[in-house]
Amino acid sequence: MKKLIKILCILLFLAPALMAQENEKLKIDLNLNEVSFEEFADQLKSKYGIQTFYLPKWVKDLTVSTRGEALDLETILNQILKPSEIHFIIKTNSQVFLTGPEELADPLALIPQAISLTATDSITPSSAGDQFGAYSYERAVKKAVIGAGQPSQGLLKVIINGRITNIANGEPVVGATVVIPGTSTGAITDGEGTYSITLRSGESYNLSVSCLGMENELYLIDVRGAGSLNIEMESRMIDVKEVVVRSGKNHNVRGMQMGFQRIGIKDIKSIPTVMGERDIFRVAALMPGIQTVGEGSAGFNVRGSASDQNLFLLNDIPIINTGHLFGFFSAFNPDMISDFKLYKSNFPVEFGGRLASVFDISTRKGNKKEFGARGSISPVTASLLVETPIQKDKSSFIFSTRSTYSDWILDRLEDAETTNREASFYDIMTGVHLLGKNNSSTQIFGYYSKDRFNLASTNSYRYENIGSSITYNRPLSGTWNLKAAGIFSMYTNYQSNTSQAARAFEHEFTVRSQEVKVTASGYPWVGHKVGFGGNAILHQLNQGILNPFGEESILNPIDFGKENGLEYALHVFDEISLTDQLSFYGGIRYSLFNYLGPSDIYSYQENSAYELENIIDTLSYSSGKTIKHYSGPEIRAAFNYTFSKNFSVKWSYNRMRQYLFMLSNTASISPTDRWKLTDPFIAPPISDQISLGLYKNLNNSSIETSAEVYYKKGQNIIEYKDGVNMTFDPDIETLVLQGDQTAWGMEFFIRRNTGRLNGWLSYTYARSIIQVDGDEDWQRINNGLAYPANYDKPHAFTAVGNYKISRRFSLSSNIVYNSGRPITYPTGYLFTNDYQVVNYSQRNEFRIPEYFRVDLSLNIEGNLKKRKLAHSSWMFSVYNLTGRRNAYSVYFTNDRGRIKGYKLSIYGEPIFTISYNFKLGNYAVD
Amino acid sequence: MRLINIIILISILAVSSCVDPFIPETTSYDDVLYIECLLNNDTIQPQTVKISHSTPIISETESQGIIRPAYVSGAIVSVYGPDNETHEFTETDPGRYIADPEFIPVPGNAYSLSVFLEGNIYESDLEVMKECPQIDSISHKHTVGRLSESSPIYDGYSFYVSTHEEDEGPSYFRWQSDATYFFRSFYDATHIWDGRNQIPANNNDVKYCWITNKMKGIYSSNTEGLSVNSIIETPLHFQSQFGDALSIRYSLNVKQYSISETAWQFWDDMARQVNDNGGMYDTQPFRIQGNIRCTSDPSVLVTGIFEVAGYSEKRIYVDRPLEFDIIPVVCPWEEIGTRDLPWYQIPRGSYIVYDYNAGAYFYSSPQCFDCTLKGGSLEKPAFWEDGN
Repeated sequence: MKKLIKILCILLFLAPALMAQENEKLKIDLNLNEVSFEEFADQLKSKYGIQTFYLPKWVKDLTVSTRGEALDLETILNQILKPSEIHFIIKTNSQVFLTGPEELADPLALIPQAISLTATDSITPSSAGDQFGAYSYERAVKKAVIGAGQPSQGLLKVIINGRITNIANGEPVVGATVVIPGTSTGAITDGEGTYSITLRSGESYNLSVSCLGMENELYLIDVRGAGSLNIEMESRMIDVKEVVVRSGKNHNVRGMQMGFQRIGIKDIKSIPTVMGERDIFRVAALMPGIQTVGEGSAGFNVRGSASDQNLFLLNDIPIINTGHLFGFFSAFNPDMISDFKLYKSNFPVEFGGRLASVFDISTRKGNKKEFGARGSISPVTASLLVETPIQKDKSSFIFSTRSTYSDWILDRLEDAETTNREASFYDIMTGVHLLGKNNSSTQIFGYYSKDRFNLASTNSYRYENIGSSITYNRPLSGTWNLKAAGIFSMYTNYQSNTSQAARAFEHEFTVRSQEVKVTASGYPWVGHKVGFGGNAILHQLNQGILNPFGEESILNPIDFGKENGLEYALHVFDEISLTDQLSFYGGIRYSLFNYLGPSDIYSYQENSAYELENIIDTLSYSSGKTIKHYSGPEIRAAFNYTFSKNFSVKWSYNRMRQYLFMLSNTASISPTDRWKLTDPFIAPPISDQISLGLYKNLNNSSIETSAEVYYKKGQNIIEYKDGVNMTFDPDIETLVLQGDQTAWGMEFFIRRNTGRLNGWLSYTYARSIIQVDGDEDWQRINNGLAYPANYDKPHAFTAVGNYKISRRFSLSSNIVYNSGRPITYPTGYLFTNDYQVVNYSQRNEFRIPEYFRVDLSLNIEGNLKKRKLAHSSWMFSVYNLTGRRNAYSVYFTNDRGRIKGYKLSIYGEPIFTISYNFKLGNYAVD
Repeated sequence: MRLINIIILISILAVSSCVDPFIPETTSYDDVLYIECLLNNDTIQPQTVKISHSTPIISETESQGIIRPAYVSGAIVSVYGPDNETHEFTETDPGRYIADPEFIPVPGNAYSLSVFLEGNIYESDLEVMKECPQIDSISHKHTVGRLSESSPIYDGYSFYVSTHEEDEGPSYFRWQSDATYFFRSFYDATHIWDGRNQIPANNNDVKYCWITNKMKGIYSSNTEGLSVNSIIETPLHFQSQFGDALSIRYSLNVKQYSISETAWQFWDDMARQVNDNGGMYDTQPFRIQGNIRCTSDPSVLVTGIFEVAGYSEKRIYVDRPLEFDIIPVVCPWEEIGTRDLPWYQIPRGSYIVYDYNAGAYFYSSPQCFDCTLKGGSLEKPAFWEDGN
């Protein structure tokens, strides 16, 4: 009964709106100077009889100034409200409804200025939706009828799916939020822009679609049965003032994901960079739980794990070497990247094969509406991207390339130190995207990157990644979605070393994989999202032959052999909404690995070290024969309890197994590191991680906060015996030992997405300890005592801020602090023949000095005319503003008989760079 | 791979990397006993065992002085050979223990070292002595190099050693060398200042000297993985164009020791820990054990190497290079009799130079006239062969 009265109240108070006719636009002529919004509303009422409805908290910081010009109401309200991102609706020039930031607010929460309305609770979302939808948005809201059924009343739940694309170029909009305001129903679009939600048939809903950098889309949908709704979104061009970077609100709270970061293009664009190179990896390194060994080093250490435990997927292609020039730059042209997701825990079951993280990178698919081009010039590289529709709205082609012109610079320097040095790299990405019937889509994508450098004419290195993938996506009848992919990837690495002519050598190796992957996901039952699938990867590693190089070399060739392995897995998951507040994700991935012949395998004497002198036999296996089999389940489970729209607690557990690892016993990834499959002697590393997180959004979701704790336990972690040199040794089992790793930490993250000042703060406490112990002396490293991993940096703090001075000028800054990485220091001198040598501490007993850096950049956008041929922008950045000489490494050499310690800083002074970017079209073109 | 090469590359890309001296603050220090013995068949030098403690690194910053080894006295040192033969060593200088000069190890025999010190017994593995082949050649090439991490690049000669063995190998070698060079004082004196007058004189009797320096550094190599059991041009040291060394005639004497694999590994580890650079692409440094252990208490930290090696040596001569200039250590001179340098400040007995063009007397430091003050010897070494 109480409910009914409330509805009646609403109807009464909304009635004029429903009945009113569209009037002439009323001109408002008020002369106000810095008055509160309340006062402005009063004036509107007293002078023009316009009632304004709003929540006081939305307007409490607003001041209003009008100049006494006669402007229409909409223009004035736009001026006042748009900077704060408060939306409004004008009804027949007699009523104004503020709807708050972004989401359509529950109309019951609107407090009419004159009418006291106490009823704000216990109304069902759907009826609220009905009412809200019934009276408003005749102009802004599009209407859609979904499903073929009769408009029957009932509680039959049906599934609505569809694809969201960018109206400008037909690209899928990834990561858009589709929500029914005021309810907990919602979805986030996947990499193909598709979404799926469950609603009751026979009812009408408001459907709101929002996405970073896009105009919100509002639909009033009349659900009569299951069906699909494709939506086109427009890039946000705000005429009055501000472009705000924002992600869909409440994702972080509502979604199942934890230990998850998504990096948007805007983040990449605005963050200060070194040498003007925009780089997704440098941005990733500013996120909690992501660390690098040192400035300019390749690879990441995610939550205290080794750098080969990260899976880098570029449109599903695994990329083995992700860095250009020793890792100073990432091997991906940032212009080409559309979406970058990073999983640190709670890995979806379709991912496997690495222990620590998945870097899931999606590229742009190409403009399906019109030709586009863009590029950039920085002190190191130049890049170009072109895209064009093949058939308008149906298919597109995209091509991007980036290259350094450092060789050109090197050629022009006549310096003894630079003679015979070369460094060059480039990368190419290209793809075709085709839309088919029934929302199916096909993407064909190719990637190539190449690096080449010569040092002092004695060392020469080359490496290249080649990858291609074909991905087919198709919604099946009903609510299922099918994705199939075929993937090829090959990494080739070559080095030659002529520093001693008699020992000069060259060595080339390749890491090749071919993969097929099929996954299906759907909503077979209400409240369940279910998926299953499988994949199989054939790994073919040609470890190559180390050959003598040049006439003078007397080195014997060393055959490192070939390795083949089949890694395959099946997975299934169910994501269940147990109640409105509690959801559960349960999945299992069963992964299997066969180490295949042909191969010759040593037999070592039992209970003795894998040393060449303990070999008792050699067994030959024929081609395709399984030499060793490993398999095991990988459980993935997660809970999300949503206390309120803005607050949730999440818990997850997952296990990962890894069958391919990198051979690296240096502090940083070196350009010559080989890869290896787990084999009869080296068991696959396994990692279990438990994490717990709190997610809270404040201030109407403009501030996201999260706190996560995790505990990880690794088994069979690969560590290297003291001082081994892998360059000349093919028998890896004689060089490594396997041990346990314990990593734990806490990550705190605060992010402000809206307003002129946005950015984030992150603090991480993380530890990572390794222990290699055994009964026998030879089974131990560091005498069996636990030691910190090379990348154990307990404290890490980053602050990233972006301040919009005006629409065209913005200032960005990073502040980075972290503890020094562990190092084995010498503690004493020894003298041999009057020559000082050093005596080292226990492994990683000390740390290099802590790291601190501040960067600053100024972005200047070209003019903001909507109609223009091309848009350009400049970035002026200063990297390491304070010029602090951060230790990249600390090392010791003997200078004429005496030991001297040195600290090496890569960027020892502030580095100023200017870079230039351009694109066809206006500012807002993505 | 030398990191510095990469850094140079990066530097070219408009980045300023830099290397600063740095002494880490290490809070803990484990004292290590260091024992070293190179038993060999060089009949001139007696067999020697050296025992010292490690020196904490922190002491350099505190003392600012030259760090000397902390020699350990009072040890009882013996070497055991075949047929229970025992050779006692006697301490001649602190930490330096010498065997009877009659004791020359014989190739093919196995020896071990035993040290009794402060209640603990330290013992080496049994090491077999190998014959040492002759050095085939010592060569040199014009290269560039640095004197220290922060120094500019100089031209100079890199020296290389080559040798081979008839058997299959692999063979392991270590080299120690000393360089002797003949050089001339920077100035020709015209007078001596006796405190009152300029006495005409010359410095001819102290103008030319020979000086011998031990080449510091660890030089070792092996023939593992090679198709022939030969060492071809393994690098030794780099002698830069800077200073007197290559100015007239330079002689290098290389002693070659045929060592065991264990010993080679020890020296290679030692050398890598102080020669490799930058740290990022180098393997983890670690505590080196060697082949000596404390058998009475395994927890006592000891690092040591007991080598029994065959020995051979070879000497070469190099005349003043034609490929590059010599950069002498400049002797600044100053006019005497000015306000800055009045005559009374000139020490009595100083060599001085009268310059006819300037019409004035000039002063420079004594070692610019007297080569013995640079550590040189006026006496020609017995082995010295004059060049053309």
